[in-house]
Amino acid sequence: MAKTQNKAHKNGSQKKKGNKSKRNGPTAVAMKQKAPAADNPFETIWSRRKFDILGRKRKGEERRVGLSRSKAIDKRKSTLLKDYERSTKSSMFVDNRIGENNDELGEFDKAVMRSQREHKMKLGKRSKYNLSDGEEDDFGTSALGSFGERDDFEDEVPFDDEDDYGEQNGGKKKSGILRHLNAPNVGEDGTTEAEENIHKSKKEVMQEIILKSKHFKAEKAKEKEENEKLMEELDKKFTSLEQSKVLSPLIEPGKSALKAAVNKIIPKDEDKNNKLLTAKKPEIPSQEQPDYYDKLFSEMVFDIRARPSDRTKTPEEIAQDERERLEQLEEERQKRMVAAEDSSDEDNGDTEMASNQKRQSASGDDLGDSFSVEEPGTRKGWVDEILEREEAEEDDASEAETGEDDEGSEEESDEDARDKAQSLKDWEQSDDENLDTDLEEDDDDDDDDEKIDDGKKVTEPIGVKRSKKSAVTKPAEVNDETQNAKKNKTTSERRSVQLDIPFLIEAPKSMEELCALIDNRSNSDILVVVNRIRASNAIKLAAENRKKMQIFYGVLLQYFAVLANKKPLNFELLNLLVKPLMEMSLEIPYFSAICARQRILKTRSQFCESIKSQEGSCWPSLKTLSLLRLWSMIFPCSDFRHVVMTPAILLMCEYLMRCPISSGRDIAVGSFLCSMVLSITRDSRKFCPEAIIFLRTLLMAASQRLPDSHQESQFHPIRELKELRPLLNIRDDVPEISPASFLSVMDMPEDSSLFASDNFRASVLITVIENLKGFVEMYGGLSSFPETFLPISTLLLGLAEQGNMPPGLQEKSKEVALLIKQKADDHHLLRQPLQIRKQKPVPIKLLTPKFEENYVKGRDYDPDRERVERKKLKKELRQEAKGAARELRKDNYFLLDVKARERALREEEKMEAHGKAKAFLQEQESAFKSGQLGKGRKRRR
Amino acid sequence: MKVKFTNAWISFLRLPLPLDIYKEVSLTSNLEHTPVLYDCTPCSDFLTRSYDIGGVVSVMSLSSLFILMTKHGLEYPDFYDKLYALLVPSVFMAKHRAKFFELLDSCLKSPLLPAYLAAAFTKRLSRLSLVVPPSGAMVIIALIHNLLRRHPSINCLVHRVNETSNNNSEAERDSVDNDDGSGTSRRLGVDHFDNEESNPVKSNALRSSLWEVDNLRHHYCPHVSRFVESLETDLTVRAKTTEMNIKDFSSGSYATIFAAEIRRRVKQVPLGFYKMTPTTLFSESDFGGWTFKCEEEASKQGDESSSPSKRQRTE
Repeated sequence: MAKTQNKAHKNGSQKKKGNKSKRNGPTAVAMKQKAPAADNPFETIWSRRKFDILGRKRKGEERRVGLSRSKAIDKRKSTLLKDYERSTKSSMFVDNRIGENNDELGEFDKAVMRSQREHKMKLGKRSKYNLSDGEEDDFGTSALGSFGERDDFEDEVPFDDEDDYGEQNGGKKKSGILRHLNAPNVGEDGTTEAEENIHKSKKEVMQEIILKSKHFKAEKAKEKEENEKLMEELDKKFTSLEQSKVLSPLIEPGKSALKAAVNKIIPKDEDKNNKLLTAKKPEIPSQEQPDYYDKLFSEMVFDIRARPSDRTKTPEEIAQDERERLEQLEEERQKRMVAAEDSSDEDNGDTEMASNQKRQSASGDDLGDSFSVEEPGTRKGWVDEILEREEAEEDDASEAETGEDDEGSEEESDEDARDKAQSLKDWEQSDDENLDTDLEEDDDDDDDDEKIDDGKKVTEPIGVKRSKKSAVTKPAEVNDETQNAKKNKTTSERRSVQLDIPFLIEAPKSMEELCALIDNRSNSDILVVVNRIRASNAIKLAAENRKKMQIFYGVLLQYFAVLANKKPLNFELLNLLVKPLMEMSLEIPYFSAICARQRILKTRSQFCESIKSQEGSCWPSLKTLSLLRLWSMIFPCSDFRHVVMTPAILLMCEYLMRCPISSGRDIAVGSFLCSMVLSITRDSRKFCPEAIIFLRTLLMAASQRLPDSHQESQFHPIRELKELRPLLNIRDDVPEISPASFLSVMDMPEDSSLFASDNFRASVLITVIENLKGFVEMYGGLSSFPETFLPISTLLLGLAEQGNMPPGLQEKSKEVALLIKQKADDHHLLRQPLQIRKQKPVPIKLLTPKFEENYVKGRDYDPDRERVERKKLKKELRQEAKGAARELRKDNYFLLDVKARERALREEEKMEAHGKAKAFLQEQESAFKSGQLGKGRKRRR
Repeated sequence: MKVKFTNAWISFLRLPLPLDIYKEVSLTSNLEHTPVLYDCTPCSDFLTRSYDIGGVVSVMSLSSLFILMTKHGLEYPDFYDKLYALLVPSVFMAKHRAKFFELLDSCLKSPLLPAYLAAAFTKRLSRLSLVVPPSGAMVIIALIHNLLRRHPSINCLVHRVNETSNNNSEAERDSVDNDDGSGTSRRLGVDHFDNEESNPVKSNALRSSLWEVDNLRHHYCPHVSRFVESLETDLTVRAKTTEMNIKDFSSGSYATIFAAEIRRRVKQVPLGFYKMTPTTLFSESDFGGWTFKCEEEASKQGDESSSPSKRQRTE
């Protein structure tokens, strides 16, 4: 189409030119020479169908066959014919004269341009001897493209057009015409047209959008109006109804009933409160009123309105209240201390009671649950203290009887103090190193700077005070000794001093401060102290309390760890500390996680060192075990990945895998670690091969029969069964099995005789089998269960058959073996080969017939897109091939035509020559015959 | 000079050496002498001998043997059988495991290996994954990944689509009703692989399935359970998958995994949830077979329990 347009345009321009040329003499002459051929009447005919036929394609309906035919012929003339003519020539002449290649320029224009160029060249010459050297040629080649720029028609006065055109803008017009004639300008026109089209479409789009929005607005307005109308109508109707008073009896009772229903709930609560608060509340004689509504009404008249102060308190306010209460109590205590020490006990009790009452009389909305923990704690503290005092007295009496015991206890406490000092130092060192790691981590974690900063601050003071502390602990030791010497005599006295626990306690910033607070107090007192510290420094009270609490948390955790390592063990206190620690880590979860991670890291590096040095046992101490347990309680164990629990369980499994077993204690600790792993993985059913391997090793060690060499090779060289064997083999009969006591096991030194006893072995085996049972139940769903557990079941059965096994143990092992066997059988029955490759879900084949709306007959409704695409391409290819063949055929026809014409021309020439010759001959012959030679010829010439 | 050195070295190697020197020699020989030696073939006697010993020594001699085989055209019958026998759990804790795994991977690199051999190695490795530490499990997964990719024919180990699978599941349903189809389904669930068979030909690995890999998905270590998922992609399409680089995993240990876990940023800290905050550290319901009595009682019990044993022993 574009081509035809162009062509049309060209025609148009030619026509224009023709019109102009009529006015312009010389141009007209030039144009006449090149006048276009008369229009072929066939070109104007449109092939148009007369009737629409249903179902027939209507593509390419309107064509001008004649025009396209003549166009094709023209094209061939310009290309194929030229080629044909050139085909016998070895070279060709390229005409590079100005305007020669431009078809649209007339002869005259060309001449004008040439002369102009010449003129310019003359003007531009600097000297008259400066010959033009090839510039002309250059110009000639580039004449087409850069003609517009070089053209200085506009500046020059046109030569001889003025008389024809008149004076008004003749030159400009002329140049305009010329420009119009130029090919590039035509192209420009085309582009501008296209641009216009684009603009138009954009405009249209915008207009459409605007129209749409307007339409929407109008519709909205309409709707609104309708709504308003409806409302008005409703109002009118309602007013009319009101006026008629049909509803009046319905409305008011309803309202009152509603009111009553609403208020019924509230006043009852308030009633209770009010009864408690004010006893003045008047009683209402209700039995006289017959109507329920009236009764309610009269009640409500006397009700006191709920005051705005009765709202539920925020946690901050509760914390504030608690602190105020403690402050008050502290004040009272100080007063009492000044006045009389003796009656403090009862006084305290009184205040306690008073505070209880006070608490009860607090607002009804106060749930009072946040600190309900504390109250029983304090109360229990007092009661306990009384009990303990009695105990102490008893102790006094017993110690007076046995002097030896006394000495023993002294020594013990001595050791105790030393131990403590040692362990303290231990922790200090570790914390010192924590500091470094913290610093490193600080560099890493920039975003969480603040919190880690806090962590640093916790460790900093401790690190700084290390030197101080060692100095402090020594006197403390001495102190302890002297105190111990006097202990028995002074217990009762000191008890009375200890009774006074301050109500407001600043959070201790270091271990010594905490020790100073807690030392020599009973377990329950320590709990009270901890709880009071928490209450008086609650995070909700002030922002800076967060830091304090974090420091205190670190200190308390340290204390917990030290306590776990202490001998003799204060297990009750350990248990008591669990709760505050857990609650505190709820408040500062991030910090507690950081603490835990640092400790785990530290523990692991210590473990690595101890494994390298191979001195002593590298199995975890009670401290590590209880810390691990504490963390597994604080943090969720079932997470896929947890910042604390994942390293923790990795550490535990590493213990199980790498620690060499050298004593009975190691076995006990290992099996305990296994049960800890079991308790951690129970929820998530995570697979932990280390624990199972460990248990299997223990069972192997316990069985007397030598396992075949292959099975032995299944295990790691660090665990040598021969070494293990004496540790778990039961030699003598064990009458009854007592469950193993974890704490006593942890307490014993490695070479204790306890670990050599058969009793101990049996109890450890029991724990091993119990653990196994847990694991079997947990891993029952794993797909390689039989491969994992079947060897163990054979081991268990072998164990059960051994001669000197206690019957309880035999039963247990048989039971677990049976359980394994059952589950393995289940697996063998139900297990399917793996199919873990991801597969796309195959959609179900639909059987509903597919209908196409607006079905068109010839169209392709293939659902397979690729096939459609392929079909389309094939069709196109076929069409192209056909078209090409057609073109070639037509080319051939054209060439044949040309050749035929040439031949005809030659024939004609030949015939003419022949005719001439013949005529000449005939003439001569006739002349010869007639006898007048030469005469006629002369005449003819 | 070179010839003289070679002769001296060979005559030294021919001597009956004690085990520790053996280790030393085989460790150094692969590093230094193999390239220096004038003619490597006499050395092969020594290497084959040490390879036959088994255990750590053969692991160490493997690398030089590998060089001999690949560069000097040494023929070694039963090489793969021996290699197969080397796959024991202790390898995963051994010192030179990184080198060993790399060699193992390159030994199994050839796509011309028969399917039964590749399947046997795959199954053996997967069986080992039940007893090795997490780092070992990572290496095993990487090795299995490469094996599955190189040998499309053994992909039936992880994905078995047979026409009977549908029928079987139906039959299974039937068997729940009338116990008829139990025979067929039992045949499917049982692992035919014989782990104790030292000959990979007879291990029946092709009839088995890698249930152990499925097991590893529940591994406690998040690295492992994540990594298993890489086996789920269709490894038979070679264009879409790449081989794992064994070097990335071969030198792993508890330390590396632990360090990676510690190095992770602490973004959020979820906490455990309890209806009632527990008050005791160790509750006996959680720890079967243990008692946690207070100190005095426990010690009393300990005294009681230890004293009779003492007495028994003195008697």
